Amino acid sequence: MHALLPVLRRSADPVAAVQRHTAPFNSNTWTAPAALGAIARLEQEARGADAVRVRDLVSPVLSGMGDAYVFQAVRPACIALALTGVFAGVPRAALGAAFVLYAAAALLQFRRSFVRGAALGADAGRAVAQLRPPARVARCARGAVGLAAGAWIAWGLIRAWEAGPSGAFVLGGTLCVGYTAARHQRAPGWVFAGLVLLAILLRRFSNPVGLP
Amino acid sequence: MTAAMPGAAMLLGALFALDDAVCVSLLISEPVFAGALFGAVTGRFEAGVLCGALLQCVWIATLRVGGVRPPEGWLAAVAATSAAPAGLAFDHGAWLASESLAPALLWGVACASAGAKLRAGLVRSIERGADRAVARAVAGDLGAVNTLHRGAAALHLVRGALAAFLAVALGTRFAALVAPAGLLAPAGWIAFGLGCVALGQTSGRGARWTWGVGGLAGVAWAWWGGGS
Repeated sequence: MHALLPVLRRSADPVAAVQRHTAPFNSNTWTAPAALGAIARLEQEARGADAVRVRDLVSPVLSGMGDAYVFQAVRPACIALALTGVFAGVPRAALGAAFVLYAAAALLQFRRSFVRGAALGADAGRAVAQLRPPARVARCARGAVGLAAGAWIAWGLIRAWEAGPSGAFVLGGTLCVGYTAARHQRAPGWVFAGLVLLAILLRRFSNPVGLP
Repeated sequence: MTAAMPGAAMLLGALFALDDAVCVSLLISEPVFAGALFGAVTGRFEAGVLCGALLQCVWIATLRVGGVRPPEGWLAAVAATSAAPAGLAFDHGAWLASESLAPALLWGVACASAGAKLRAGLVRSIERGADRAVARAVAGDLGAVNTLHRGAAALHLVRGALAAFLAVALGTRFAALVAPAGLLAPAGWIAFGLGCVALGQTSGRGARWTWGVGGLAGVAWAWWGGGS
C-alpha cells in the first residue's frame, strides 16, 4: 500500500481507495512492479474493482514465477559465480562481477515489469506471459548453477584428495549426508553444525577414520 | 577485536538488515558479500571472505518465500569474521582444509539462528502496528501508512546494529574462550560439500548434462592449476 499511496491519494475517494488495498499483497519483489503498475494505472482510471481483481488474480501467479526465477535461477547463479571466484583466488573481481550482474538483472526486471504492467492495465490477467521474467535468462542461470555444481564437486574431490585422503572422505561423507538431509528438508545450518560437532568429537575422543 | 570492529559492525549491521528485510535485497546481505564488506572495513578482508564463503555454501539455496524464516546469513558472516583466528590467507583454495575455522563458523550459525528469531519477533510487532496503521488510514489518516513504513525501517535498522554489535562483542570473547580447547574440525570441506549438494538440487534434474560438463571443467580446473 505504501508504494501505491501516491496514486491512491489522488483518486476521487482516497479513503475508499486505501480500503480496497488493505488486503495482503505478499508478492515477490521482482515481479511486484508489474502488478503495481497495472493497479496504479487502473486506480488512476478510477477502475478500483479491476485493480482489486488484478491484485487478487495476477499478483499471486506472477509472484510464483518470480520466486522460481530469483531463488532457483538468478540468485544462486550469481552467488555461485562469486564463490567460484573465491575458491579460484580472485575474490574481489568475482564478488564485484556477481554483484553488478545481480543488481543489473534486478533493476532491469523492475523497470521492465512496471512499464509492461502499467501498459497492460486490466489486460494484465490475459497477458501474464508478457509479464513473466525472461525464460531464456532463467534457463541460462540454471545451466550455470548446474555447471558450477559439477565443477565444484570434481574440483573439490580432487583438491580434498590432494590435501589428504581423509579430506576426500569428509567431503564424500558430507555429500551423502547433505543429499539425505536435503531430501528430508532439514535446515542446512543445523546439519552443518551437527557434522562439525561430530567431527570435533571424533577428533577429540577417537580417530578411527583418520580425520585430519 | 580491533578498535574499529564494534562501530563497523553496528554501521554495516544496520545496512545489511535494511537490505535483507526492507529494501530489494541486492545481495549485500548474503554471507559472502557481508563478510567481505565487514572484513574490508575492519582490515580482515581474508577472514571475512573465507568465513562468508563457507557460510554462504551452507545457505546457498535458501528460499525466501511465504512464511519461510531464513537464517540471518549476514549476521553469521559478521559474527564468524569477528571470531575467526588471525593469519588466514586465500592460498588458492588450500584454506578449505583449514581446521581452525570451525569454532568461528559454529558461532556464526548460532548467531544466524538467534538473529532469525529476533527478526521474526520484530516482524510480528510490526504486523500488529500495521493493523493499527491500516485502521487509521481507513479512518482518513493516510499518513499513518508512511509513518508505519518509516518506523518499520527504523526498527530493522536498530535491530541490525544491535545484533551485529552483540555478535561481534560476544564473538571475540567466545573465540578467546574456545581457543585453548583446540576445537578443530574440517569445517571447510563440510560446508563446501553442503554447498555442492544445494547447488545440484537447485539446478534441477533437467540440467543433469550440465553437471557432467561442469565435472569435466572442474577436473581440468584442478589439474591445470586453477586454484592451485
